[in-house]
Amino acid sequence: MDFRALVIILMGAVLVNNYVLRQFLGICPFLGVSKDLKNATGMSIAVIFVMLMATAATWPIQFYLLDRNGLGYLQTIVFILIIAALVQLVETVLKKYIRVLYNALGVYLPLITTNCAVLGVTIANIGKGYTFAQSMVNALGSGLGFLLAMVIFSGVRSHIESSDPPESFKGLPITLISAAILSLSFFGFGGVIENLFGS
Amino acid sequence: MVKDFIKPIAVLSLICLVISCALAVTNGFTKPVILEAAAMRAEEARYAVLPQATGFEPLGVEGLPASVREAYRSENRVGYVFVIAAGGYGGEMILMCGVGADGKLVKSTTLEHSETKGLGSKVTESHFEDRFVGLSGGFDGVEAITGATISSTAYISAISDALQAYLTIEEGS
Amino acid sequence: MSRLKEVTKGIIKENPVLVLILGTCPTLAVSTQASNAIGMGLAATAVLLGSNIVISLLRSVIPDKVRIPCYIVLIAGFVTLVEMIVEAYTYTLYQALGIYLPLIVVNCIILGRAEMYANKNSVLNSALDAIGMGIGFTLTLLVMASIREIFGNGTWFGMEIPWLKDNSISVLTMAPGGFVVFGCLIALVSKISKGRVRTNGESKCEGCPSAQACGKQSAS
Repeated sequence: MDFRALVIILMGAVLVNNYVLRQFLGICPFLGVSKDLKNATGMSIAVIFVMLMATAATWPIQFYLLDRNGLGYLQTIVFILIIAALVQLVETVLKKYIRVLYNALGVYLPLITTNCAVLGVTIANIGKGYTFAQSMVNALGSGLGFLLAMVIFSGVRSHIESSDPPESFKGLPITLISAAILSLSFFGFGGVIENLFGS
Repeated sequence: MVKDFIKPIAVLSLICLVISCALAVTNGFTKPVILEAAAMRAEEARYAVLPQATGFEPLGVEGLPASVREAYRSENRVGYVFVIAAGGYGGEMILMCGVGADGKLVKSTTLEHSETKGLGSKVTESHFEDRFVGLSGGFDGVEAITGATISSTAYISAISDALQAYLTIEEGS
Repeated sequence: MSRLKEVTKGIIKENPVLVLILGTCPTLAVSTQASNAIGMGLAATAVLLGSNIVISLLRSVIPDKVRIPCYIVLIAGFVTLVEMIVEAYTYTLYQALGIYLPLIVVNCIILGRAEMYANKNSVLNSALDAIGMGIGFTLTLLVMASIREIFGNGTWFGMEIPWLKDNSISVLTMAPGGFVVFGCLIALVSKISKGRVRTNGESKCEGCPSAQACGKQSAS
């Protein structure tokens, strides 16, 4: 197993190709839930959890079921159904057996079904031709990137609260412009991973 | 209670079934078109990397470097075309290389890649790809793209695999 | 509501992207080039139209319990249909849209309109609603993409514009540019409607099936 390649995928997903700030996946929760740090963290952890499980479920199904039988065109439907079912299952299991976790995360789970980032990462794993290990690492990295963006942004938003932009910019527009600046700052990571791990 | 349970499941299953059938039918129509268009694009790409060729006959890839996916010999014997899969920064990078009968690279082009936009993706730009034209080895002097070492290295290793494949075939015949 | 109003409401007053704040992901991602914007807009409108019509047709048949999974299967079915057709007949668009084509499945606009409108209204009204929302979506995408392409790349629909080509602000075509243009557009629309639309910065996922979850944690 090429350990270096895995590290590159991980760091790349978190910093360079950050799902929210570069690839525009997961914007809805990013704008909606990042106001409060506690909610932001809770949501992100739930997202990481679902991403990992969704990858673990969808990758084998793609390779052993869909591709072997020429059913590649069913990918979209099958993947989104798996994600929806997974989320439902996790919610039920948590509610019944791990109440503490359910109280912390349960509320975010339905939102995650329609989160572009989760479906996005499962499709991307296949598109990039990753092995199972690489896919899991990619999912972890993407989730961590999501967490990073959410946490940083909730800090930024708490500052926006105390500012006073022009009337029409209040609320969403000024939030988006702040997101732009955050995204710009992440551009600085381009090339860092390359030069840390490159030969 | 039973009705509560059976009806929803039945409706859901029925919808799934109908949708799957509709998709299977559409797939039947569109798959041939997709494959045909893809074959045409591949043929065009082959001519792009080996312009003087008149036609291509596929060769087996046994004995060639592991990254060679497809190999073609041009019908008028002016060279070979290889499709190479290199491990790039963002996943697999698929290249097509045209190697002349003299063992020198005629042209290379990237078919598919997932490199970072603006950085690693620069390996697809002509100012980088042109650095390899006419070479048959000795890549030490070729400059990589700044900040895209991994993408550049992958590209270079793909080219050298193509040249290696050429040598292997020539030795065999 | 009159038939015409059903269609036009989706363009300004209830513009799915700028007012209802749905479908933000593809808007930001695909609006780098005007041609991509039109392609995505048409694809999404096709799916929206199909799903609205079918869901409205089946609204008395689909049990409430499995409502969301049924909608998802139907929408995913239409998306896959569109995917196959686009891959077969317009390959350049297929490459340009990339991963965002299958992601139309989780585009909140489609699921949102199904949940909020199609399952309560007649087939004709649902179809009109879909057309209106689709036009609103496509127009918004087109405006955003045009701004980003013209000033960020100096081209429009691929045609070069003399002075701008050499003086382009390329960050506009990248991630940060997307956020900025989007934010300014929302501000503009808000100003034009003089606050008759609500922009309180909270997530407007009333259209999303997860609205209860949203409400729960916004309140906490």
